[in-house]
Parts: sequence; C-alpha cells; structure tokens
Amino acid sequence: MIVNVMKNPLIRKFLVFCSIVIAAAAFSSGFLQMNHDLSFLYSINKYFWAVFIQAFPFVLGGAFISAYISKINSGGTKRKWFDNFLKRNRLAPFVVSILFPSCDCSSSVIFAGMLKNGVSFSSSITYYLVAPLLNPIVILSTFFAFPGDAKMIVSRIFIGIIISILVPIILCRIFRDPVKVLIHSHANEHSHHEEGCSCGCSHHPYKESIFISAGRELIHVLPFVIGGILASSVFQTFFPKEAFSFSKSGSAVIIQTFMMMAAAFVLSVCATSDAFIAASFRGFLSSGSILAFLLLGPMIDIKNGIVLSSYFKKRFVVLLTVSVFVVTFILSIVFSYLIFR
Amino acid sequence: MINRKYRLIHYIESAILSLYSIIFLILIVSGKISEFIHPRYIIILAAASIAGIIISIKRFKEKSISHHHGKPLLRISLMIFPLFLAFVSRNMKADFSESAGGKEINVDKSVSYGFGKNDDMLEYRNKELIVLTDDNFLKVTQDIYDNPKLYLDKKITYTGTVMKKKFSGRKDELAVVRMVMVCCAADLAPSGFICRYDNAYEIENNSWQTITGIITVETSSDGDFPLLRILDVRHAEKPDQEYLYPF
Repeated sequence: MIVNVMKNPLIRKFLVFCSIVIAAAAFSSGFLQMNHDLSFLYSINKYFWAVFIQAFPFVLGGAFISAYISKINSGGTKRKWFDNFLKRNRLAPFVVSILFPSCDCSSSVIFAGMLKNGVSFSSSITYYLVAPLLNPIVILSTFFAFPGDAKMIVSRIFIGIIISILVPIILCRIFRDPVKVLIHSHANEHSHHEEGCSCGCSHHPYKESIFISAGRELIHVLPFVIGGILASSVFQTFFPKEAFSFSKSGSAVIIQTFMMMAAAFVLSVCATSDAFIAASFRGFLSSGSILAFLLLGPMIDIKNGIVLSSYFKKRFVVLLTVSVFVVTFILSIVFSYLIFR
Repeated sequence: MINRKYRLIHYIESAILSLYSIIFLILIVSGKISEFIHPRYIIILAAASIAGIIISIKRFKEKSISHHHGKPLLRISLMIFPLFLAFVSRNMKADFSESAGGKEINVDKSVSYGFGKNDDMLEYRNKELIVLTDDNFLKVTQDIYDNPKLYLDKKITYTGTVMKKKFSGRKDELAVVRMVMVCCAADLAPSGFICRYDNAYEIENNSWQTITGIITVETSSDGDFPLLRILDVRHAEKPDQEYLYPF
C-alpha cells in the first residue's frame, strides 16, 4: 500500500517539498538563534497575519456572493428578479454595495463573479470601484478620523462615485469584448466544459451546493490573496509611510498628490483603517493629496492588483490600474482647488 | 492518472483551508485573536472559520472534483508559506520603540479618534489628579493634545508601555504609550505622552510601567504640545486588554 502511494510522482514531489520546508524551517530557526538582526521577519509576519485574518471572512463572503450570483444566473434559484436587477438596472452596483457591504478584498472576487455571469462590464467595474467606499465601516472610520470635516467625508463618497462611473466609460472603449478580459480556466468558465469533459470537474453550478461553489472560488483566489498580502507586508516593513512624506509642506500639490497615491498603492492599507493613517498627514500635506490617498487605496493597490490578476488578463489589470490612477489624480487636483482652497 | 493528480491537489488544498480555519478558531478560543484584529471582527471570523471547515469537509466528500490551472506546487507553496513564516518568527518580540506593524512611531503627532467634546471634558479639566483608564484614555489624551494649556501643572497617572526612542535627542526622554487598533494589528499606532525623567536609563524599553507625572507645555514652531515630567514610576503587569480600540 505504502509502496504504491510512493510510486505516485506527485506524492513524491510533495514529500520532497515538505522535506525542503522542514529543513528550511530548522535552518532558519538555528540561524535566528545566532543573534542575527532579522526583526523585519517579525514585522512582516505580524502584518501579514493581521491583514490575512481580517481579510479571510471578507474573501470568503465575496466567494459566497459570487457563487450565489453564479447560481441565480444558471437557474439554480428562483431569484430571477435579482438576476434581472443586476443585469439591467444601472443603479444596481450602488444598491448592491450598500445592501451587501464589502471591502476591497472581497470586491475583486465579486467583480469577477459578476462579469462571468453576464452582468454588464461597466456595472461590474463600477461595483468593484465603489463597493469599498460605500461600506458603512469605511464611512464611519472617515467620520471618526476627520471629525467635523464634512468636506472630506462627502468628497470621499461623492468623488469616489464619479470615478466609479468615469473609469468604466474609458475601459468600455478600450475593451469591446468584456469576456476576453477574463482568464480562461475551469474555475472561471464552466460553460466551456458543460458536457463530455474528462477532467473530472463539476460543471453544473445550479446542481452543486453553494458551499462547493464558494469553496472553489475561495481556493482559486486564496494563493493570490496570500501573495498580495505578503507583497504589501514587505512594502509596509521596508517602506514605512514616513518614507513618502518627503513631499511635505512647500512642495507642489501635484507632487504631494502623486506621492500620496503611490503610498496608497504600495502600502495597501485596509479601507476601514486608511482614514486614520491619512489623518496623521493632516497639517503638513494638502487636503487634496490626502483625499487622493483616501480615494485610490480602496479602489486599487498592489494587493488587489495581484488578486485581480488571478481572474483577469494582465493588460486589463494594468489598464484598470492606470485609468483609476489618472482619473483619481485629475479629480483630486481639480476638487482640491474647488473645495479645499 | 490526471484525475488522481488533480484529486490529490484538491485534497491538499482542502486540507490547507481547514488548517487555516482551525488555526483561526484556536486563536479565537485562546483569546489571542485580539492581538491581531479588532474584537468587532471576531464573530464574522468565527462564522467564516466554521464555513471554511464545512467547505473543506464537503470538498473531501465531493465525487467530481474541481481543479485550477496553473502551477499547483506554486499555489500550494504560497498557501503554506505564511505557516512557515509564523514558525520562523515565533520567538521574536515586538520592539515598539522602532516599529509597530512596520510603521515608524511619532507619538507627538497625536491622531484624532473623534473624541473630546468640550462639555464631556470639563470633568477632567477641573481635576487635580487625572487617572487614565482603558475607557477614558483616548478621549482625555486627545483633549490634552488639543488644549494643553488647560491641563498645565495637573497630575496624571496611567499604565502604558515604554518607548525609548530619542524624540528630540535628549537622554532623559521616553514615551509611555498605549497602542491603538482601529482595524487590525497592521494599523497599530501609539497614543500617550513623551515624558522626561532623570533616571530614564533605568527603565527597560517595551516594559509596562505605571507612571505619575505633571503635565507641562512645550512650544515649538508647530504650536504647543504637552510633555510629562515624571514624578513616580512603578513596574506594572501587562493588562489583559493590551490594545485600545477607539470604536
């Protein structure tokens, strides 16, 4: 029995991999006891687990919503009105964002789920961009971080909505066939494998349990979520937010805005707490650059970029990032002159 | 053969998912979860962990399996890597004087948490000895930062952790702070006061101390800011609730 199991090349590969991991762990353990200064590992580890533990329920929730949309699209439930509402009503992204609050970790998963199941390209992108900004906890944290500063709170929501409408208009002109932006895979496109496939996949979302569908989504996206959080943990450790504050008072608003947007992209701070970090820059950076930080972070950052690349082709992810960046930059500069002058 | 390969990958991925779910549940039951995330997320994390275990069980029972294209070994390695990282850094301890979640600390730039309405604070402004507790710590410290002159020469006592970073290059300076969590440990930020104490060198960095001091006000180009002149320092035990949560 054991000999038969050992003959399996994948099991052999896995055992070799486990041996390497154990050997590396033992070596690093001994290495650390030799008083090398590797305290950055503590920082990466703590940051990673904090963000991962917090993101896990939201990613799982996103996977369940995506599975549910897939189920109603395939006729697995009688909620046809919801299907019609999602596909035909232009206000659907905003209503869904308010009814099912999600953060930036889960909105990527739901975005892909919407697009796979026939929700229009522009509505799906609008949902992805606006959902984290309309999350009640995000609004509440902005309210607490900027007490009495109604301009900042309202601007974050209002300009966020404008960006979520403008960016899809740009992307719809570039990508005429939205389905082509998705990476073709078993996890993404069941319709290509309806019958007669020998791979053993289950291809009938309306027949299977919602736990199985959600599990498939979760397992698909989990390595990318982990990779994204690890990347942002490394950036958080080696590029603390003060590294971006050389654009202090005196430098042009344009430079400040650009630097704050770069900080939001690289640091990948959670949408529910970024307002407090932004508030710590108040007093020596312009309000417009702080607003740019608050707008860009929940919409796109290095973590979300990696998660999106699990569903979408690189060209789409890059153009989405660039268009969000450019539109946010222009609107932040314009509104900072109109509102915060 | 291909089917067996995908089945094995399917089982390994399911096992890793259940392992993470179990780890999260153990952290919740042991109470250590509050070191990582805000308590308001604990209920949804517990629900998600239970859902994760149910998903894993259902995936183990699944007859027709799903699989993901790409490099399975790379996917599995990425999913396992955080466990490896946790194992390697398990004996390391936080040094709040240098970093918290990787971010540099500046206690003098007190971040507002939306507290400190004037009417509520009269009670503290009129006291000669202000005692800071978990409940009033954030709102009182914020009011002191906002209106330092109203608290001039008043005594204050509280328990916090020591940060021995050189704030203005003086050897007698240290800060006694509580770490504040808004969302998770990645956004931990200090709240407290920079203190001056002649025997600052005697106090261990990152240790918990109960201090009593007098509020003084220093003026710089940025305006007035409060400083404490320490009168008494006593070693304290780490409190059950290590962090403060503004909302």
